[in-house]
Amino acid sequence: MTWKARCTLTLILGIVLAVPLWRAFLGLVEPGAMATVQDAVERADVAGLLANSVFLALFTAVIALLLGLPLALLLGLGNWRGRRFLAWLCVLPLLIPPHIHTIAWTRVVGDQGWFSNWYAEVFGTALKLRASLGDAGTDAFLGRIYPGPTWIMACSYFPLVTLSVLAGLRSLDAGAVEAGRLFGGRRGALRSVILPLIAPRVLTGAALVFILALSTYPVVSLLDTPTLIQRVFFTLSQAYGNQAAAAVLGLPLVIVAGIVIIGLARIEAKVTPGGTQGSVRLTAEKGGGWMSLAAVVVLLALTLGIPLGSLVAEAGPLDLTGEHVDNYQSVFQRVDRAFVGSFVMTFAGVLALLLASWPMGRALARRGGTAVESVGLGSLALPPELIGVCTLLLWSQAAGGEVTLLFLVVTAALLALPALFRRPRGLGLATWGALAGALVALGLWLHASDTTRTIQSTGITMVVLVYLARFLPVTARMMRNGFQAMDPAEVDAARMVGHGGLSRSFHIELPRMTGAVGASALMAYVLCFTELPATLLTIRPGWQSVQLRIFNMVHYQSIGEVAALCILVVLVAAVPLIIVMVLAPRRWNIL
Amino acid sequence: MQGRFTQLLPLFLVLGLSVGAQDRRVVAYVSHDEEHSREILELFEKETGIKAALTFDTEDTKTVGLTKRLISEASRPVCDVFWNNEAGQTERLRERGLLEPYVSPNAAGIPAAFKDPAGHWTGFGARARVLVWNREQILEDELPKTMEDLAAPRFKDKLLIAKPLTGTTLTHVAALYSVWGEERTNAWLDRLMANGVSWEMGNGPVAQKVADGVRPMGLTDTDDVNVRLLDGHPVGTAYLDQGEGGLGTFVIPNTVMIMKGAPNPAEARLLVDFLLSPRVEGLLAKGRAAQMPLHPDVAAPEHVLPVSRLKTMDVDFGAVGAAIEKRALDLNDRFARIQGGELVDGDKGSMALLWAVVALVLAGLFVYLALRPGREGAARS
Repeated sequence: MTWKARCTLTLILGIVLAVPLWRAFLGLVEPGAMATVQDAVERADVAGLLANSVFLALFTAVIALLLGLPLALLLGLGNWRGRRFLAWLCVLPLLIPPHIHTIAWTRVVGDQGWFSNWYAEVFGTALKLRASLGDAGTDAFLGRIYPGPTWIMACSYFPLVTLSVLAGLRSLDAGAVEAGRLFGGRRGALRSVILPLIAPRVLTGAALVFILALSTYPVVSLLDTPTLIQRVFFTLSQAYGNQAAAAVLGLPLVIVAGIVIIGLARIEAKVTPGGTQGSVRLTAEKGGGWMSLAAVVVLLALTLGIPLGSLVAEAGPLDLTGEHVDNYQSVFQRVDRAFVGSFVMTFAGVLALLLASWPMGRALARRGGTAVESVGLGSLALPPELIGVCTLLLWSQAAGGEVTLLFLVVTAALLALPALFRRPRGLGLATWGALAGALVALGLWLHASDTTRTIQSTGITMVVLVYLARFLPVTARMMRNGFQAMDPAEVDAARMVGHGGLSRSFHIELPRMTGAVGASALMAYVLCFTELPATLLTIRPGWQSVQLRIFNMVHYQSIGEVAALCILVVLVAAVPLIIVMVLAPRRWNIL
Repeated sequence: MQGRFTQLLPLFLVLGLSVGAQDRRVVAYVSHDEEHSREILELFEKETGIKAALTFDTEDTKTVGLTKRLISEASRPVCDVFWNNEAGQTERLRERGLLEPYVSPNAAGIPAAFKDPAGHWTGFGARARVLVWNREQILEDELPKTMEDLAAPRFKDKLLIAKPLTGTTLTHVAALYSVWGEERTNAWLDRLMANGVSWEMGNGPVAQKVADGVRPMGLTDTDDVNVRLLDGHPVGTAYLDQGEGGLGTFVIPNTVMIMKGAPNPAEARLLVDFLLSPRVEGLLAKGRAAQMPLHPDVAAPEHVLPVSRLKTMDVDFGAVGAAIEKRALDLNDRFARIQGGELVDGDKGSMALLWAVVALVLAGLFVYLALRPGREGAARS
């Protein structure tokens, strides 16, 4: 990796993620902090809670794989009408936040759910959504497996596997697949060519599900599942108010996630698709795909239809005559501003994520960066509340003039870090010092001009910074995949004939990256739109978000109104997707 | 050069997004239910012409989100007024020196038990900890009369209570510790556990499950009961410890306070005066949350009992707030035994972690075997 690329990576990740987290660990040097951390660790059954978290994440990933992989293969390899529409439909579960999935499933298989009642009548025994498979006290294996939260999280996140596999299918070598089909038929091509070649993408999706399941708080909170993330949240919010203790308790989750990412990177390094990209279809003629269609519909009905159906049933009928105010009308009148707020924050987040992921993805694609990527993606396992608090704390203190200089020194050190590992070619010590000095000077100017105060108290910058800290590793990874699939000779040729960096980006790289940019934007959209905990901590006074409104309404409003709002959120959030689906040319290959 | 420009674009975006307008305004953080508090704050805007910029908490974070935010912003406060829906977290803020004393003229009629002696915070519109019961499953005469009764054998497997780890349930149990002492409260909790109490994740679920008939009664807040009453469920409210020499019902007021270093102090005082007025207490009483007025002469609906007509538990909120972090930790240790809604005995944490590591290794091994170089070579050839 070039020194410039390395600097880009460390600077972006440093400002949005490393520096805020460093601020959390700085809490360790405060008086009495070490004793607090020690107490927090001793009181928590870290081993047991970590085991529960790992089991939960592992089985969630496995179930998501079992749901998402067949779906992607049916959609990506079939040649029947409606598959493009159904591929877009697969994104919908991601637009329903995990806490809504939980509420919806509770109405089905909870204590008084319709399926639970039927099950109790038929089998004479009650379904226990919250309980473990075995005796949680004595059975060290089955007692640590919680099928309820596992299934709900798998239903929430399986589209990540589907989307990742669909991206893999698009980048397949059409020649190799055709050869495989000639020698081994459809099944042979699938078994010996397609599956091995898309394996890294399958694993990427599963790994992402694994990491998100490690850190998803609302599901385990609502179902009372004892996991490490629940303990981290408790430590952060209620017990000590000490983010250093929470950060220390959250470290095992980051380490587990990091190990998974490193393993994934090694596998990816072994299997890299190459050759000619093209449209790969295993069904020769159009039509005749009704069995595939039926299978996709059944899968979607199971994972999306049941929770949405239970919400629709709770919300009651839509009154089209206008004689009565139904739940939908009653709710929408109260939350229209929240929709505006959500969309503004989401689109700002998407834009910022795309702009930051572009140079980062390119830098990662040039060579390696496994360590940076592992730390980045591993940070997804941290509770969003912790990242929110750290970001808020850092910028508030910077605005208060407390840590500006320290902050700048650490940022400069981060910038210099790459030079410690590999001396940048053509960059002397004096130049490096001048660069670091210029950065400090820039920071002092920012401080003197009151910019940090502006960033802290106005606009939606804090929310955008938190979105960057949380989701940049995901979108950067998708961009990296796009850059890797590009022929570097084309970019080199453009450079040789005199195209500058910006020109190369616009005229050479962007036209070849439409699929990756579109997929990154899509992912950024669903992640930002459904984000709740960190937004709560950083949202500007006076602004609203629909996710916040849903949570508030859960307390006092009737379940019918809450369900109506959930349905509205899914429908409204799907509008931009529908627009992109209709307007985006097929050659962009977003899905 | 152009490449560097591209890389600096995110910075420009960050600076560009930081645009805001200045006018006469007050910033309020509100942990009371948004559906009802928004109407009241809009009324304030209409009457004073002062723009109220609002940030709300969620039920899930139980006021902790905003408290955490206020502590994080202490170096450079953004918030002027904090309207908290309880008093425990308020005391945490007072202890940290984050509150500006202000005695509102409208606080005069509020009982001394519900305000800070130094004026750091003032209570208004309260909730009470009550027993919710299902009229179709238990008779009124059979209901427990005191908190101690809840642990009686005749109520085995009949009661629901939220885990006392957050929100008003935590504050309630912390208050019991301050009144009953360590030994008696611990013994009471042990008897509750042995009595088959179902420990829920919040007061809302407790009231809902009683309304649905999962169990005949539960300990919850008045607002949660009122919502189910308005939705037509067959539930009733019982105030515990009202007899002669009884402990009294635990009442949790909303609290309002001005933050130290508030950017708009004059507007903040106006908002506090407005919120503490008897008229606002009347509006809160009429809402779905049915907040109980602390001012003695507020006209409230029939189903809302004014605090003046209730025997209340004598609690030093300062002491409760000071001890609440320790209580939360101790209670978490105790309630870690409740897993997935069931009481669990025994600890197999280390063994379970070993199983988890084995499962991860097996998963990795499976992936390696599936993608071992031989297969990859076959695929490439």
